[in-house]
Parts: sequence; C-alpha cells; structure tokens
Amino acid sequence: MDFFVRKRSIFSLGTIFVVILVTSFFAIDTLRLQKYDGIRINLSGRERMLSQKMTKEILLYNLGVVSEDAVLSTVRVFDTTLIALKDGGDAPLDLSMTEFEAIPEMENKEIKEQLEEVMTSWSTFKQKIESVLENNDASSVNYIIDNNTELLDEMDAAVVMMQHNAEERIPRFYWLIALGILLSVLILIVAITKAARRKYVKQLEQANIRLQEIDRLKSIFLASMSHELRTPLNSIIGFTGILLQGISGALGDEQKKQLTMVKVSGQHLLDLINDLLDVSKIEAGKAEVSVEEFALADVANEVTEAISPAANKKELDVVKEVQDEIVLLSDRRRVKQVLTNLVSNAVKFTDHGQVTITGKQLENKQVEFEVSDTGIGMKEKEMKRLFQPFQQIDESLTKKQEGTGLGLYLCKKIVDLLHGEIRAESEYGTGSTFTVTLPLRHRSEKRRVSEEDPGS
Amino acid sequence: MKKILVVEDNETNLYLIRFILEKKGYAVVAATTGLDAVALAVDEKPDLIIMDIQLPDIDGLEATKRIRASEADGEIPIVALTSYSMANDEEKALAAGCTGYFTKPIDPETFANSIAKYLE
Repeated sequence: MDFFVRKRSIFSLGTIFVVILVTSFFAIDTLRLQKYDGIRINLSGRERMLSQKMTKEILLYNLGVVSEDAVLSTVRVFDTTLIALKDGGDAPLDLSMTEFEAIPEMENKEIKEQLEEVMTSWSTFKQKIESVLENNDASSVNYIIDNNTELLDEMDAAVVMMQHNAEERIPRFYWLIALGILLSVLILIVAITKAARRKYVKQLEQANIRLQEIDRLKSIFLASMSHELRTPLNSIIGFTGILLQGISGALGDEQKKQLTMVKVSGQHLLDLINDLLDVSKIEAGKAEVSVEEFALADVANEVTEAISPAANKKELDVVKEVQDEIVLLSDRRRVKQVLTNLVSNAVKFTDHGQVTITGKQLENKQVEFEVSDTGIGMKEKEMKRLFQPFQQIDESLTKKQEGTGLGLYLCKKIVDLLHGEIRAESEYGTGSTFTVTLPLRHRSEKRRVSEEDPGS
Repeated sequence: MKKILVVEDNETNLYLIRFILEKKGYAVVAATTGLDAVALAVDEKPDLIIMDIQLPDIDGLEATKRIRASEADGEIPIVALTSYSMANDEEKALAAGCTGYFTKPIDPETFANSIAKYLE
C-alpha cells in the first residue's frame, strides 16, 4: 500500500498516534484513581466504626473504665483521617498512627460536600467530647448520645457515594478504550478513502484530457478527408464534363462513350465519398441538425423530379400521395436525403409497375412517410441485415446492382439523428415498403461543447 | 468584359475553372494564396471573386474578411468554394462576408450559369 508513503498520510497517522496517546493517558489516570478509591472506602468505613467507638469510649470514660488519652487518641485518628479524605494529605493506616498513606484531595464535588457536612457535624461533636473531658457536663454527654447516629449516617452516605463513584468509573474506563479504538479506526478509514478518491479523480481527469484530444483529432481528420478527396474529384468530374460538352473540341462517338464511363465512375466515387463522410460524421457525433420549417410535399416533388429520368427509362410510374398541409420542423436536407435514397432504391429494384410515395400526419404529433414499390422484394433473412452497412441484396450475381452499400445504414443513422424510426416490410416477388416516422417538430438536445472546426 | 478573380491553390482545378470561365467570355485573374488574393482584389478590382477556402497561408474566410474590410464603396460578390466537411461550413462562409458558395466538386455544366447570376 503506497498509502503509507505519502506525505498526507503521515498527518493522519500522526493524528491517530495522538488519539492513542490521549486515550492511554486517560486510561492510566483512571487506574490510578481506582487505587485510591479502595483506600478511601476503607478509611471511610473505619470512620463509621470510629464514630461509634468514640461514643462508647466517652460513656466508658464516665464510668472510669477508659482513660482520657484513649479517647483523645481515637479523636485524633478520626480527625486526621477526615481531613485527609476531604482535603488530601497523609491518612493514618492504623489506629496507633504509625503508618500513613498519602491520598489526594477528594476530586468529586458531591462527595466533598458530603464530607464537609460530616466535618461540620464532627466539629460540634468534637467540642462536646472535649467539653466532657474537661468539665464532665451532662448536656454534652447527652448530645453525644443523641447525635452519634447522625454522624454515623452522614459518614455512611459518604461511603455509599464513594462506592458508586468507583463502580461508575469502570464502565467509563471501558467506554474510553472503545472510543479511542473507534476514533483511530475511523481516522484511518477516512484517510485511506480520501487517498483513493484523490487517485481516482486524477485518473478521471487524465482520461478526460485524452478524450478531448481524440475528439479534436476526429474533427481534424474529417475536415481534411473531405477536402483531400474532393479536390481531385473536382478535376475528374469537371474536365470530363467540359470534354463531353465539346467545349475543348469535337469528340468522336467512341471518345464520347468512354468519357461518359469515366464521368459516371467519377459520380459514383463522389456518392461513395459523400456517404462515407456522412456516416463518419454521424458516428463521430459531429453531425449537426439544422432545423427549419418546410412542407413535406415540396421535398417529395423535388425527389420525384430528380428520379424521373431513371424512372422513365424503366417505364415506371412514380405516384405521390403526400398531403400538402404537412409542415415539418426538421432538417430539410437530411429528410430529402433519406427520401431520395429510398425512392432511388425503389426504382433500382423495380423492373415494372410503380413506386408510390405517401405521407400522412399521425395523431401523436408525428409524420409518417412511406415508399413502396412493386419490385423484386426481399426474403426474410435479407431483411435482418437490411440496415447494416455494406450489405447488398445480391443473391444472384447477374442482378448485382450498383450502389454504395451504405445507403440504408446511413438512412437509419439519419432517422435516429432526427429522433425517428425506420422500418421495412417486404414480400419476395411482390414488392417492398419502407416506412419512416419522424416527430413533427424536432427538439434538439444540448449541443456538443467541441464545436471547433479546424478544417476551414 | 467582366473580370473574375479566381483564388485556388490547386493548379489543376485552377486550370479547370479558368477554362470554363474564359470559354464563357470572362477575363480571369488568378491568385494562389490568400494574401495574393487580398492584394489583387484591391489592384485589379474584379467584378466577382471565386474563393477557395483551403489556402496555404491565410484561409479563404480570412482573406474574405480582409477584402471586405478594405472595401470603400460597394461590395464585390465573393463566392466561396467549400469542401462541406462540417454542416456549418456554409454558415461560416456567409458569416465571413461571402455572397454565396459552391460545394466542391463543382458541376461543370451548371457552374458557368450560376456564376453569371452573381454577375447580374
């Protein structure tokens, strides 16, 4: 794991170290306090006992059984112990006060307050004892008899409090350890996650830069391809055109014939280039849709006009049934492109009969136009590959038709671009029908960011 | 006789266009770079400029902009020859100040007639 090598992770590891240090400090302190808890409870218990012992000794002193020194000795032990418990100091471990243990000041406020109360009662109690020892007055003796229980109870309360305090500290101790561990683990997880995330983001940024560069290169490629291919074609089509017009001199029949073949080939090459570039553009995501309002009928008229020489040659009827009122908001050029392709296919694959173009508006704000023919039709398995590139229906070699092989594939791509659908129905030997559905009004998506056109 | 300035860096295509235009009776002046085009537009004062877009130094659009900037009175019609690589090639040409455009390869039969329209 290279996590441990980075500079940033040293910070996280440092933080974990500090957390562990602090937790340990508190844990050790807790243990220290535990030790004193034991001693204090012990001493406090003894104070309870001593309060009763003193009372007994005063009474026995009165009866002459116990000496004044004995009483004073007990008083001294009680006194010293109470002070040590409350304010901290040396506490006598034995009643003859030969061994001492230093204990800290009572840190718990409540217990300290309780010990203050004990001290208050004790001050009075001590006075009474001293009074008895000096004057032997009966009222002091009575006081001692009446109030020694109170002293006992107050001390008892202090003991109970100390016991609770000690008990509470244990779970607190465990919680502290648990918290310390949890915190350390949490910091570790967060630090590792952050490091992983940073790495991921960096990878994404690099990938993005690469993608943008590829995109830019695509644009340059398409632009220069178009230019490079069209330049020589310009001279091929141009010069054969001029020659065939006779402008450069009269031509013999054979020369005309051969030049015509060159011209037709040039035209075919141009169609191929146009289709290829179109497909490349669409697939590169660089195709744009220029939207305008136009009547479908107008486009249909233009297409039928253009196809009429070829249709007349084969003595085919071209029938139009497009409602005049259908107005589309879409890319006119591309719609015309699709219609032209479908109609010229229909003419190409039909030897007799007619080609019908229909257009109607559907209820769901869509337009549907169809091109149907009475041509050779297609078999089911041919239909499957219909809209794929470079497929041609040429089962029999004699019927091999010319074409780019991209026509229907491009149609599908264009229809997709315009958010529409295209489908075909056919019966082998009877004819085919191609149906295109388009939205009446084209809604464009967000434009691409990379609109730079380096070619021009 | 009308004078046409043809800006085209490809020799063969230049020959083609010149041939068509001269046969139609126009006088043809040629430039093979954008900078030459700007200079000749000022010196020769042609009646029409046919401007190829891809040129060796400054491209046809830049040359068009400069010619437009230098024109004192009246605009010479400038027709662009575009390669149709992107859909907005044509829009860019018009935005730069071109009067119209042709897409290469040109149609030799109709080219001369279309040119005549710009000269009316």
